[in-house]
Amino acid sequence: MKKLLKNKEGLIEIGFRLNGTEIKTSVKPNETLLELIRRLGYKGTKKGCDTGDCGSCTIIIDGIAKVSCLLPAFYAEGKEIITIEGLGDVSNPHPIQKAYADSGAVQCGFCIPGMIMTTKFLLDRKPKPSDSDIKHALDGNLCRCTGYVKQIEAVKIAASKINKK
Amino acid sequence: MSENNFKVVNKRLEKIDSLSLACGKPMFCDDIDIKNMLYGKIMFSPYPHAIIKNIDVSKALKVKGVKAVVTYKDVPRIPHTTAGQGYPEPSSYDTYMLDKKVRYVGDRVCAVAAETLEACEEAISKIEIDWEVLEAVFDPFKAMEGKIIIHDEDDSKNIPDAKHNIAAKVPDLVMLKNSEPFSEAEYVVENTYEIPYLQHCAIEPHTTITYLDDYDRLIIRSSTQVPFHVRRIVAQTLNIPLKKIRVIKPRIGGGFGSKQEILLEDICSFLTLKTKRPVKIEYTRKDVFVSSRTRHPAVTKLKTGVKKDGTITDMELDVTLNTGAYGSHALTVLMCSGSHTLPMYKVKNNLKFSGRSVYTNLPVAGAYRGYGATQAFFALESQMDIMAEKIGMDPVEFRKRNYIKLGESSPVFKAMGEGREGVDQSITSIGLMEAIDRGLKEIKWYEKKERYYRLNQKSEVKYGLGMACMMQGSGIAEIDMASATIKMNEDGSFNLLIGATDLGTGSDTILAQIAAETLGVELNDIIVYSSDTDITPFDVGAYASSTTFVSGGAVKKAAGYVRDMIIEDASKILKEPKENLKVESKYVVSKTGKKVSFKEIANTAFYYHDQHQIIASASHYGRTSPPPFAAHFAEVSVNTRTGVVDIINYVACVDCGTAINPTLAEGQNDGAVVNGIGHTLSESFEISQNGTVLNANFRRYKILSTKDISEIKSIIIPTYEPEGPYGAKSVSEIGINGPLPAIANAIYDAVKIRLFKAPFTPDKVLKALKDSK
Amino acid sequence: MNNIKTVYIPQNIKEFSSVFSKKSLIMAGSTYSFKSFEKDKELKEIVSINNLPLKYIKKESNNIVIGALSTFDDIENSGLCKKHFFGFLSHASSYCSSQLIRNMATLGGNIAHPNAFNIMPVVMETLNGKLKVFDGKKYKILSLSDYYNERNKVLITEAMIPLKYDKNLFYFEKISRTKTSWESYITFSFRADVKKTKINDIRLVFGSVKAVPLYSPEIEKEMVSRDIKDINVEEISKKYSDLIYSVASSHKYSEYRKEVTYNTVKGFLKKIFGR
Repeated sequence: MKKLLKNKEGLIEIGFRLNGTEIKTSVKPNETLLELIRRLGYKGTKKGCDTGDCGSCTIIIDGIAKVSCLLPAFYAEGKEIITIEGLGDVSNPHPIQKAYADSGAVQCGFCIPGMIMTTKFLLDRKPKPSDSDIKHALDGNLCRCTGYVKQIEAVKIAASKINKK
Repeated sequence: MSENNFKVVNKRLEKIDSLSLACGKPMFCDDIDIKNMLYGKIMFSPYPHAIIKNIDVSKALKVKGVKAVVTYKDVPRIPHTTAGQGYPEPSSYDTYMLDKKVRYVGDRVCAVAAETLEACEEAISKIEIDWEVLEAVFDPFKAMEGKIIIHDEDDSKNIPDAKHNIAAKVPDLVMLKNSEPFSEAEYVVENTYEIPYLQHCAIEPHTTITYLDDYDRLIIRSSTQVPFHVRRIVAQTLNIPLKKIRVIKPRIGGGFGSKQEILLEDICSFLTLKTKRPVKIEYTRKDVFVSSRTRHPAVTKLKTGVKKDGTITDMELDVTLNTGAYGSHALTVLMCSGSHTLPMYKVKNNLKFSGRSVYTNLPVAGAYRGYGATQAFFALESQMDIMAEKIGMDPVEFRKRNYIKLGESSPVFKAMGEGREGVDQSITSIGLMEAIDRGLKEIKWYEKKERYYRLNQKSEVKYGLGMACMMQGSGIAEIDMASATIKMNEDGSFNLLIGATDLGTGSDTILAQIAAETLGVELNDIIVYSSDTDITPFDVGAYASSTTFVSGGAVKKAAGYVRDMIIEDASKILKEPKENLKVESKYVVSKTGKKVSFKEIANTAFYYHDQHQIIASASHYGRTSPPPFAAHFAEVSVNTRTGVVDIINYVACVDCGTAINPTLAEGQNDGAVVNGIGHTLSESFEISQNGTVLNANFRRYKILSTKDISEIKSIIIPTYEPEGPYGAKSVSEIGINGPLPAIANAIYDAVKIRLFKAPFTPDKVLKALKDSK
Repeated sequence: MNNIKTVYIPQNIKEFSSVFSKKSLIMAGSTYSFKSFEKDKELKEIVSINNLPLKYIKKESNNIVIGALSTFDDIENSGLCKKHFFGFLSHASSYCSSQLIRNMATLGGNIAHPNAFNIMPVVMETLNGKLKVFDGKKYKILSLSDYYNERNKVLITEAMIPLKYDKNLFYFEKISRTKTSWESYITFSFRADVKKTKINDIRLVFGSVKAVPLYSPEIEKEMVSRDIKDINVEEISKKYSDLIYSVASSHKYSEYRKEVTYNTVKGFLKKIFGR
């Protein structure tokens, strides 16, 4: 049976894929996956509430968008994880990142990585979402700056750009 | 209103940081790793009102990893205000970095710095305190009786009446008296409106990192709206020279007023000075709810007189604010509730304002978007509808007849400023008529009212429409100052150094647009660096809707000086008189057809001849504060079975002068409106019998999600404000003033019940429906 | 949680039974378990059941069978759950607070940690669902109330929803301040089997009022035994509203719940009786 054991330093050793790279690291038992990701240098994933209610820590694990602040770091063992940095970069942004930037959907930007990850999850399984599909999928990503108006537009634009390809 | 041929201003350009933020770049306060950093944590009070008789930190100091534990005995005792306002701050100096007395559940007791957060928490659990628990008071009206005194210390300053827990007061301020009050009124309407404790809920919690640089200067990296005020107040409270401090603001994850406060920087800096190491203090979400700042809960009494012909004869506004345990912004929010609302309508005979901000043993209220106007507009705009109904007039016509028109003034402007007398001004731009007409059309007001009147007779779900008009300000006249420095680079690009604080509002972008427009270049020829007290010139910071109007004014001036210098140099190169020359698309072009590129001018200036750096600075402050205006229209459904109110459609038409960037202006307005709808339908603190906030998390204090909004539309109504840069006023706050009254009016339209206490939750609505039968 | 020694990740029930003990913490979706035990210093081992083959939704003899590791999102989007019971299972699942939580929270977890606001227990009671549980050695079938009374620690492996209710009428409504609130004032979950002049079966379940779902076999029996035309809808509605009130009369929303229960039950009964 698969087991994760504590090593001499009292840490649990895990291996997983992060944005396409193999990672081998050791984690504290009570460390959250959010803390681990940020500790590894991926600062795009944010801590807004640490209780799973705001969605700023959203990442994609084995294709499913989840809040990383509720998950133990050792949960990453054997998983395929994608964070905002893995979608695209300023020199080569993902269509979803570009759509958000173009539409005025980014104000302070703190909730945006989480929103974008959830958007990717949505568009991967529903390439032509209706307005209510979009609202239903993004209902766990809170934003206080935009009132969501331009963000919903951004998702629609991203969907149409991706479908064109 | 002029038809302007803008090249960069009034264009929907992409915000300069949008793509980087969308790609998750590490731009926020906590997104850097600093070697050797300690975690700081504050121990908060479990009691609403108590004295520390004895505090023993010896066991805490022994916890592995703990480097410092500081109590009131270790820090200087310097009364100050945490309010991020210009000096001398119009708030009482009633706060101490750490005190012997605690005044609310969540107040600071002491602070710890340690290698890990767990060590901090363990240390805090081992601190032993002998408390003398005092009786606490939570209701402002009870607090005014003075049986329990919250600020009984003798070294606090500028508390008008500590014995009655009055943190600020405006005794009867009569601004107009042409007759015996209400003597000419044919109808007198008097109501009381209430708003509870509300929190900003910026998604990024307050975070501050402090460290000593190689010159032993204190560097403060903080999520703040007011870097220059932080520098001054930290110098004051730590009693160190201001020149030893540098404040840097990285990207901020929202503020809305909660970060217009010196909340963590003082204690964090103290821990750094004590341990000589970098220290980070990061509030948890619970800390943000309880121990940062909130909106002032308000009990607003409005008494108005009206005549059948639609004349408003008298208006008496009395506001009681609960300012919590400390008086930061207590006076200015109070005054703003009058100064930014009462000029809205012409009053014939009598106009009076009175109010008080009262201390209670509850979380501290501070600056929050709207800043008093939100509380008062709930009252004013609800009452406009009530008066219209009394005299049998269409509420739209009633407002159109009475609102302040172009060129008109109001005695309120001179009488009420921000904490002191104000500045007389008249309305120099207003697009309210267009805003109203456009909104009526957009929401199909008259057509729907007719349809709903019939539909509502037989359905369980009833529909209604309501409107509200509102105003705000653009900076604080004669007080708020901003400055900018612009320097030219040899490729024809420019560095724009501004103190102005971008908290996601996009001020970096719109200020660059203003500079680009003036200099005749494109947005991406301007490199912006902002909010660094060592490098950028002074700016009061982001509050009072001042950035576009005041900081924009400074940027336009500085850009104008730089443009003049460029033209001066070009005239020498082209051997043409300056009068022939103008800037255009990175060239200086002459009437005669000759032209020279910015690149050539800059290179000449740097390297070839009469070498100099083309650079200029300028400052600006507003002589007036021209109000933006808005008209909001809400379409709601009220389910008479469950009491649930749904917003079906919301149209917000706003006159902000020239929108420097229409996309950003709409975005600001959308966010303010949805925030206001949250206040209206769901948000409020739940406080226990002993002053503990019970719903201090996002699970139980619900802000709106994508599922809660249906159709929200922001429409910019263009006008041209002659006092503002390229005609601009402001837009960031005004939108939050509309939802409460517009929705209250819409609910009345649907089911004929009038709600006076926010939020309009299903239980309140259903009870009101039941009581009305 | 810092003192744990081992995290077991069993791949099947056999491996699970070898490590299942009273002292271990079972972790599935993680929406509850991890954060709740973060500061626990006594905990020595965690059993992560995420790799057990319990993520399925299928039709088996006369039941819809849902594996305990199925998430709210799985149930909401399952073809079987949309098709049967007029989509009641799918619809109810969509009320779970947010997409991210729906992606993580499992049916088993939602039943195993009772809370007034949990949706799955309410759904189970409405449909007379049964739970298949594993005690480390063998399987048992339990009703929901039996499960809550069960002393021994057991692992929920699946829920069995009888298809005999497939063509019943359903009503589900969660009333809260916002559309994604986790809390609610009250949750209505009704099922009725009405044929011409008689009620063959009716179940009115109320959530958010007590830690476990509330329903009244007595009042239901009253309705089942009579002809529809003899049932006084106002009287039944009042019985329910009094019941809801009496369960927590000092609660700050007790008056509201009373009123809205009366209105909603009345509306539902009128509708299904064709009045």
